[in-house]
Amino acid sequence: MNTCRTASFAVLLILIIFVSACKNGESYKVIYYDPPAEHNAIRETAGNKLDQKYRIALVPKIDGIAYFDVAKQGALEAGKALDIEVIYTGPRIADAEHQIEVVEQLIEQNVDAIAIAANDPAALSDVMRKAQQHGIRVLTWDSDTIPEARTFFVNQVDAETLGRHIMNSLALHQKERGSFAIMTGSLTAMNLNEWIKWIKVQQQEYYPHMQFVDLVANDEDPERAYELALDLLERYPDLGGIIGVATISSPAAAKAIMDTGRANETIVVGVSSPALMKPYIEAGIAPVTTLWSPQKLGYLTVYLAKQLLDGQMPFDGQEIPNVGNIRVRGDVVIMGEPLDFTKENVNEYDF
Amino acid sequence: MSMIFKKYRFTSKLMIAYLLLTVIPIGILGYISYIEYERSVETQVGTYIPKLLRQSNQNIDRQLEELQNLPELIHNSREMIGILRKGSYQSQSEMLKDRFTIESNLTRYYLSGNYKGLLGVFIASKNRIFQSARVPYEHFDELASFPFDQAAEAEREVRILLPKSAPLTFEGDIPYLLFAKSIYDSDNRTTLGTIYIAVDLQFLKDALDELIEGDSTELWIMDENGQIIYHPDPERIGRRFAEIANFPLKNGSFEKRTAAGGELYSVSQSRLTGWMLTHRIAVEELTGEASQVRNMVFVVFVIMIIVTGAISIFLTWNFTRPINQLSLLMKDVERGNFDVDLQIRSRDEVGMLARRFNQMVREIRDLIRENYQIEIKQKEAELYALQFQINPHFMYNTLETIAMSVEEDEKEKVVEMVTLLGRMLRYSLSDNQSIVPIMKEVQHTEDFLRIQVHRFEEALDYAIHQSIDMDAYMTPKFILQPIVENSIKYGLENRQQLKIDLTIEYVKDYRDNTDAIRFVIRDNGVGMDADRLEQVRQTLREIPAMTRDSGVGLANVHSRILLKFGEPYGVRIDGEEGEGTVTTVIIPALRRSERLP
Repeated sequence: MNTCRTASFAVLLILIIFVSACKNGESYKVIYYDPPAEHNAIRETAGNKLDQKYRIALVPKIDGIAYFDVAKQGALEAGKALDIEVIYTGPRIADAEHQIEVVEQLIEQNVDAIAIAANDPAALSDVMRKAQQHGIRVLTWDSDTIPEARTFFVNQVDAETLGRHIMNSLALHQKERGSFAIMTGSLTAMNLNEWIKWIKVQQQEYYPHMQFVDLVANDEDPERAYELALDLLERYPDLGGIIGVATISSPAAAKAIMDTGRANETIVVGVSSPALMKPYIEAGIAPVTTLWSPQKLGYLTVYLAKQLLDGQMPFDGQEIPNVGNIRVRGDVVIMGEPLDFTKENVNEYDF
Repeated sequence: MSMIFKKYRFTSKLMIAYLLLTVIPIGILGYISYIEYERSVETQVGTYIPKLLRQSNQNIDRQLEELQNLPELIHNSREMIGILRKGSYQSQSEMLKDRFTIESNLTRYYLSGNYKGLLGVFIASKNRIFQSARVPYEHFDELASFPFDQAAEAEREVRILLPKSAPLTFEGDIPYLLFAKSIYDSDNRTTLGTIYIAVDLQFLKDALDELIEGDSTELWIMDENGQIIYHPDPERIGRRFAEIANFPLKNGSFEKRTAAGGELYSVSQSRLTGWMLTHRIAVEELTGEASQVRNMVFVVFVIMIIVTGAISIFLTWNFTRPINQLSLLMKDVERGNFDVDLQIRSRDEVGMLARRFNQMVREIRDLIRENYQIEIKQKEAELYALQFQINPHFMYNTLETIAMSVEEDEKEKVVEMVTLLGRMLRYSLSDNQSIVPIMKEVQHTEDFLRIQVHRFEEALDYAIHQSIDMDAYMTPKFILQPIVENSIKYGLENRQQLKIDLTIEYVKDYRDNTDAIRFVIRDNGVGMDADRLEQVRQTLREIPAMTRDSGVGLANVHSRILLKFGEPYGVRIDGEEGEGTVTTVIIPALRRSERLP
């Protein structure tokens, strides 16, 4: 009897041990932790951001013209969106010396980065190198310098594409015949010279019946541009078209054509903003004007400058928020394709 | 505990010990191996599933990324962007033409494209609504004025509206994800409106279906707040899964234990959206095989208990049977049967015990036999002692002395001698007790001496010295008179004058804290030469058969004392030739009240 009871007691004890595996209540026991790999990296860059606001300076070719004012808007928009300080400062006259002064001042202010739309590819290189020696990241936008002076160039459009396209536009509306002149903003601005080069190449390749007659430079001065346009019209009475390179050239040429009553004889194509060209487009003097969004260019430049300060170079196909995908050719960033403004769509744009 | 244990029989204790020694290790071993097995299965699955989930999540993320890019398609159409840039119309027809353009473009770009899961595309722009839907819908108007996350709006990122959180509904209540993105005119830096793309959740189902196996598996997607985005049960989509707050991690697996049983959760968080792909399976199903192992272990366990129980019963019985046998035999011996033999011939401890027991019983038997023979010898001795009581020589001599006294007309002497003789006879006859007070024995001896003094007159003298209360101590009868008789017999053979001294003394601590009484009978006779002394001593040592020869009286006294009290009591004889003899009788001091052993 005793034996029996004791034995059953022992068995019971064992059973209790077995059963006690099932505990009561709710508990969580981690079995496997699969750490997400990339979160740390993101946090690091976020940490950098907190240190201090970047100060990025955007230098236009000249202060006070519509094109760069609009670009400034885009740059400031980017500054707000990215939480950085954007300093927009430019020379009152579009030449290298004045720009050098501006850059010198910026070096003194010890900004983090300078993006410059160069009036002269070579003349500015010294001061840009000096800035680099001061630890300032230097890049170019709108108009390039020699490659050694900057990290990369933010180009609005591919120069070849633009040059050939403008030539095509002119040829289309001149029925591939007649003479034309080119009015540029500056004989030293690298981007303008590149476009002119490709305009000429396109003409020589495809339009043998058209004649290039003259190239004039207005130094980004609207009044001078107007005078030069009048002069061209006077000098070449059978001038079929004027190509305006740099944004103030086209409206000045168009105005001169309008004022001299040669609206049906001479046309204007080239680079300019829809806002400036709208009356001439509607009047038929400028059948098509080509440009890009200067705001977008300003925004993109600031964005890439900031990204450079974060230690990252732009890459081909990179998607820039609120801009789109960029292309990269060597050390040149190309923002996108040129926009054509015509009677139909000129109202769509507000720059 | 030990108290409890003491209560049980040895058999029970042994059985319990055997059982515990087998059951506990087996039980613990089985339990541990089962737990370990279960844990390893759990760990394996818990490591494997999160990896699967991560892959699925990556697949889903890819699809979501693609879907997130869908709104961008609109920028490919300059026509559409041109219309969206417009703010006002001069005529109704112009507006309707634009609407037609946009909606047919939407159909071409989106619904006719490769994106099968698209339910509809909507654009709200400057108080205009454009739509292209594959499935009839309602309540889009409300959606257009739905308050969106302002921060996301400012960032111009794609917002994903979770199922059942937007007012828009499709026919059949199809659950959908709504991707909303503001259309940004990057050229003019303005917002043109918002595009909404509704996507059937089917793509999530397709991605997750392959992961579901077994009935108790549950797989769903929820956001970080527990809002269920996709669940195989459409009812649950849009509900909240509150338990997410308790999740110990967001990537990996963990076990939730409740009273009802364990559940293995595996979770993987999407890098893109932060959504949690959650997999839940009952541990029971997971460890189904383990439960089988458990059951098997349990069956083996029970079998082992039965087997070891049987073995323990057999061993215990085998072990305790001889002990029980022994106890039965002991009972037999207790009842007086010494003719027993424990039939255990094994050479172990129990066999040894049996042999010792047999030996002990044999020894007891021998001891009893020996004691019995001593008893017989004692009786014989006492029989001879009785013979001393009526020594015919003594009677003859005394009567002759009396006769001579009568002849010489010594009346007083005759009277005294007759009186003494009478008292002696009475002592010898009446009192049949073998133990008497020393007083009586001494009285008897003195009576004998007085009679002898009357017989030998001046030739014999005696004295009695005593230092104890002779009435208080006991002695066997007839131990002094034969010695005195002996002394007289040999003392007067060669001497004219004999003196006998009887001394009675108390000896403290004679042996083993036992006190003794010493009787010393000293005579001044010729004594014994060395040879003779040695001869007598030899006689005393041998305890010979009772005779009445000279010196033999001495031996009789010695052997009676020895038989009664054992060593070292008895008679000792000393003396030298010409110096007399000293005979010492030593007996234990027996108080009168005491009984003999």
